[in-house]
Amino acid sequence: MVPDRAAAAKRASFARGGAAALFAALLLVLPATLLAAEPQAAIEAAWWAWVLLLFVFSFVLGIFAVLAGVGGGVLFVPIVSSFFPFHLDFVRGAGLMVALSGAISAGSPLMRKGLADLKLGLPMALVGSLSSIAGAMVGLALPAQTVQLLLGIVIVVIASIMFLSGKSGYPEVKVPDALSKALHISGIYYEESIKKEVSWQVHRTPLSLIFFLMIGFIGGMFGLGAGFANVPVFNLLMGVPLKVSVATSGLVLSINGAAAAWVYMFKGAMLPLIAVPSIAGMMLGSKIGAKLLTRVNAGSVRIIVVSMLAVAGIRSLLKGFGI
Amino acid sequence: MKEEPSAKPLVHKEQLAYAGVLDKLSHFAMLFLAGSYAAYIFELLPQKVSIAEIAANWHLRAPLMQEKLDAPLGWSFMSGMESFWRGDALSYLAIIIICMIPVICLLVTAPVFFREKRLVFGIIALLQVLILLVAATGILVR
Repeated sequence: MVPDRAAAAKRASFARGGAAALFAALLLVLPATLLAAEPQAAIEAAWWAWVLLLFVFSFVLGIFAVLAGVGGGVLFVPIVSSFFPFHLDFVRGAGLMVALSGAISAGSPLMRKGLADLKLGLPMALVGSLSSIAGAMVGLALPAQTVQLLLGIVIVVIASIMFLSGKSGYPEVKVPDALSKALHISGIYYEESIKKEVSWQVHRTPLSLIFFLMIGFIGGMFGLGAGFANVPVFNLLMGVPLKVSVATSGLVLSINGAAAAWVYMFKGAMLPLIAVPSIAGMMLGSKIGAKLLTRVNAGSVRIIVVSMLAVAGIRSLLKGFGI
Repeated sequence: MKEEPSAKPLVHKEQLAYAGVLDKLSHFAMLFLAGSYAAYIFELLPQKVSIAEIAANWHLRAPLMQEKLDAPLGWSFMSGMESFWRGDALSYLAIIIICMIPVICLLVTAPVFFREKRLVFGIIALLQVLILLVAATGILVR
């Protein structure tokens, strides 16, 4: 890079960081009452306005989620619970449906291409679905303020992981572990970008099962899709190529989400009035986001999304402390 | 990594079976979701609990709202034709259909696993179905 261009790129990077910081600061100081209108009569009078706003908001989140390479649920729950008048119980129920619907609608082509792998995903989904049911039960039994506080902590940790963690396109696994060998967990897929077949195998399967048990619990408890955690475990811990990790994560969270969603339904925490516009908005937004992916600087979007997550996490923490 | 010859890489039969069912069901579910929600919010069908009542109470915890409104819960809307043919109940059914998609996909896939002599995965698929069905009965939360 010539010096002028390097300096320009540096300035642009600073500008992006500054814009994200400004945006984050604005969100943080924005009074909750501005969006989460306090007067109950106003809420009753304008239910359609909230539903419309939720749809538009989910649509925008869907665009950002795809551009930043994160699942919808992880953005949806902390932000909607911070800025909309719905109780966290219903937001978590809707968050699970957002994640589940997105994974289901994207799943078929990914499986046909061999990117989402059943043999890799099913054992992880089996343990994850059990713990996601448990997580949902615990989450709905705990006092709302405690859940809000814990959600804040989890979201701030996720934002930090997203900011710091790396990823590996094609990790090399020299020796697969005994369990993955016994289960024949390995695969091959055609990578269009490099016009080559990529074969993969995995290691650390038993440890990963424990991780998926924990991830399922957190996903069920907070109504998060948990792709933010599934992907690093598949990719960085087990050594699965990034694309297979992302696609198989969708399979896992579709099963885990379906298991936990029943708990929300039987506890009365699933409101179609809230869940359906969220699903529709997020899915439409994801489609637009996928089209914009080649034209937008994904790095800048990621900075904004991480900032939004951090702010939503801090707001959840403050709400959890009753501030 | 290998150089790509001409043939496509092998995708196992059970995976194609899962993808085939998933494709059809996901399209159906999304259409049903849109249609039933339109019937709900435009009040084309009667509602068990009015939207205004839901909106007036959506700031409450789920059990509190349930206590006040008796909104559709679990399979409660299936108790009769009268409670089923309502905008909110049909919209709720759309959510249930989405949650049942993995169950149906796995039920179709499990026999293929057995036919392909991948017994362990056939058993895992059936266990997964069992877990999802147990969750769907609601006995875990009673």
